[in-house]
Amino acid sequence: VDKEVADRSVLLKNMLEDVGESDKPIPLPNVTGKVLKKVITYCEHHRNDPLPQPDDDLDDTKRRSDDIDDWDADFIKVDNDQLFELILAANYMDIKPLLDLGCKTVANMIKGKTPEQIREMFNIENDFTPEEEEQIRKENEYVSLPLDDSMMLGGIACLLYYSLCIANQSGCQHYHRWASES
Amino acid sequence: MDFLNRKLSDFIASRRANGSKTSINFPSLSDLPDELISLILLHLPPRVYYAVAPRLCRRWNAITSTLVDAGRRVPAAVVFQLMPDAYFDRDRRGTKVFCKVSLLPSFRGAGAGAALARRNAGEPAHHSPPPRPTDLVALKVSILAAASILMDLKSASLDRLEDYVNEKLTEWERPRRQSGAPLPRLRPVMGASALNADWSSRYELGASFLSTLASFLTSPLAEPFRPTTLSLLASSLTTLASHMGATTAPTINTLHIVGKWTPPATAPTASPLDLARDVFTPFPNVAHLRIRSDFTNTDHPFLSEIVSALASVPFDLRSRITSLHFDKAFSEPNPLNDRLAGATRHAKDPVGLLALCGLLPNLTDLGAISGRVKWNNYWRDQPENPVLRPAAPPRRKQEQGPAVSRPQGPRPSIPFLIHPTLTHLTIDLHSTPLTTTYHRPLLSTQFLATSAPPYLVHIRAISGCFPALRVLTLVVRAADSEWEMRADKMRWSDSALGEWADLVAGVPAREVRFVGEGWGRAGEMGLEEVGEEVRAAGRFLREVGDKCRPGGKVVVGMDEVVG
Repeated sequence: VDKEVADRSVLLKNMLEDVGESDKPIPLPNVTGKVLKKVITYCEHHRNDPLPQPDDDLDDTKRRSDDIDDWDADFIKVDNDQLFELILAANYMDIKPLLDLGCKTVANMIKGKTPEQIREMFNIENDFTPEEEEQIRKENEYVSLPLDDSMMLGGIACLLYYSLCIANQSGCQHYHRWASES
Repeated sequence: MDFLNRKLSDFIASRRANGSKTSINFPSLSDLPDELISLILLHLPPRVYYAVAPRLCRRWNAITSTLVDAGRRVPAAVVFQLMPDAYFDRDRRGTKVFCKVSLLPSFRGAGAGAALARRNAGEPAHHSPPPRPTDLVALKVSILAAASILMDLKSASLDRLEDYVNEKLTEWERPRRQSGAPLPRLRPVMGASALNADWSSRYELGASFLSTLASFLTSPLAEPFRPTTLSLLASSLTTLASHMGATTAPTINTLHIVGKWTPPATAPTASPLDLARDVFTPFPNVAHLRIRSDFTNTDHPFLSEIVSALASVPFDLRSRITSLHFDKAFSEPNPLNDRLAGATRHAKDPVGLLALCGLLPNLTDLGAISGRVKWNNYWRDQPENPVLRPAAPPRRKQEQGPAVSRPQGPRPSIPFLIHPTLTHLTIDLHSTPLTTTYHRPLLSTQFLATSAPPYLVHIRAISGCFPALRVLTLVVRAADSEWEMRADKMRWSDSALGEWADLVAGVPAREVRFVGEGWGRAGEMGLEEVGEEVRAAGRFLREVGDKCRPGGKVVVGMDEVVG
């Protein structure tokens, strides 16, 4: 591997600086061969990218999860096991852009899903008691109620009309017609 | 070999189900250390971060709390939203509450949308995602207290606004939080980016508030808050304009005119033409015009009224308008205003919007033309009528844009107005009064599969009037009905797919976007953990896109754009 590619990893860069010019292999005990190959592919593709700056963390725009470019999106299309191996490897080898890519990918997988779906997807055990769960849900209610009152009123009107249609034994066809025409 | 593989998979699955580690140690999300989970959390939008992540398990709950303590703040733009006093109640101590804070969904649906918008660097500025804020904070204020709060803001700074918003959030939320878990710290980065006072005509604003608002908008002290959007009932706007006199509010670039264009009580005999002129004069930099209905009142303006009124606005103000979005209630006859239109002898003009476009010579973005119900009815009820014949085009159009014979379309002999600058057109395929205000439309592939033919005529004919069209956005909404999302209905027929592909190939736009909740994920593809309906939408996008790719057309899915 070229030094330029190896330098993408802060761990390797520091080790190479310590060791100096040498042909000796550098041990990476926490990274499997398959994952290392993938990491090298990433580093080779990004060999000319500017290195991340320490104050990047302070920039909120860097925390967006929807700015993954096409190559990276294709690169990170791996199964969950390999994804987490990559994240761990990127963390161990200190390759911040790859770590960010992995984290953004997991964040994108989480977005738009309910807690139940996320638990199922990542095999997370729900260790809350029902009371605790209800309490936490209530506490965060204000961020989980996107509906304006106007929308709620609309929904209520809709339900009332639907109930009236059923009460009139006209079935839901009437409702469907009303809903589609209004 | 297969047998051994299967056995190995079963073994691993059973060990995982028992919660034990396998000797073959594949890492899972739970194996990541806390600091890595924190990093993942920091990439989540605030709504997910605060409402979903803490509910997963005790460990995630503890991590989110730690991060909040470490000062995670939510970048936000503040909407100053006036509400009727009845909306507010008393707190536990019996004190009347006048102000609530709530977090609204992100500006943009993220996903493919934001990346796409960046890729199309040549698009008008309003198509790019906002630079920083990730969420909106609605500072909901009682009408009774609005004037004094506005005066407070006027003499405050942006830092003060941050304190104010967080103070109100704490006041409102803390008593309800028994566990003492920390609240997010909101950080307004754009100040009062919007001033909404359009609840309904039943709660029309008083002259005193409008006077205060006029003073706020024109004061240099309001500059830190940079109000860019103003949303008011038409009659309140005219009163506000009269209070502003000769002064202007140059920061306002988006104007929402709500409800019927009626004169205010103070000047009941004013004509709608004067009203329109008066409304625009104090806001010389309005580039985005939104015309919306008052949802509590079916007394909508007619399109012909709006066309006449806008014609009276000075040309230099009209020519600044680059985007125009309508509620469907105005865009064509519908069950609500058909009857009224008949009673008041207003023409039923299904494409009157095109005449209106002629009044706005630099229009590049025309949004939310209703694409459905009444078109079906015209098609069904009056098949022999020239469906797309516009009403007699206003004479003034000769000044701004030439009326030329339409080279293509269902009836080539009909003279048609062609708008030369419009590049972005949005057609709402299934808007209803309910879904128009419902900002998170449901994904409905079943709807597209069964309703293609009536749409095709409409979409192709309308979009054919805009030869410069680059992006055609089709907003796909369901009729509030879960049953339309049932997976067993997600069956695409080849003929339906073929018809949609023909449409995409036939419109002048080089890119056709299908927008609605879930379509962004469907467009991203490659994600296996999605529901049946998203998979069906993904198949739709893929197959229609494949059919049209040779012609250089791009088909994408995007989540709904909010805000």
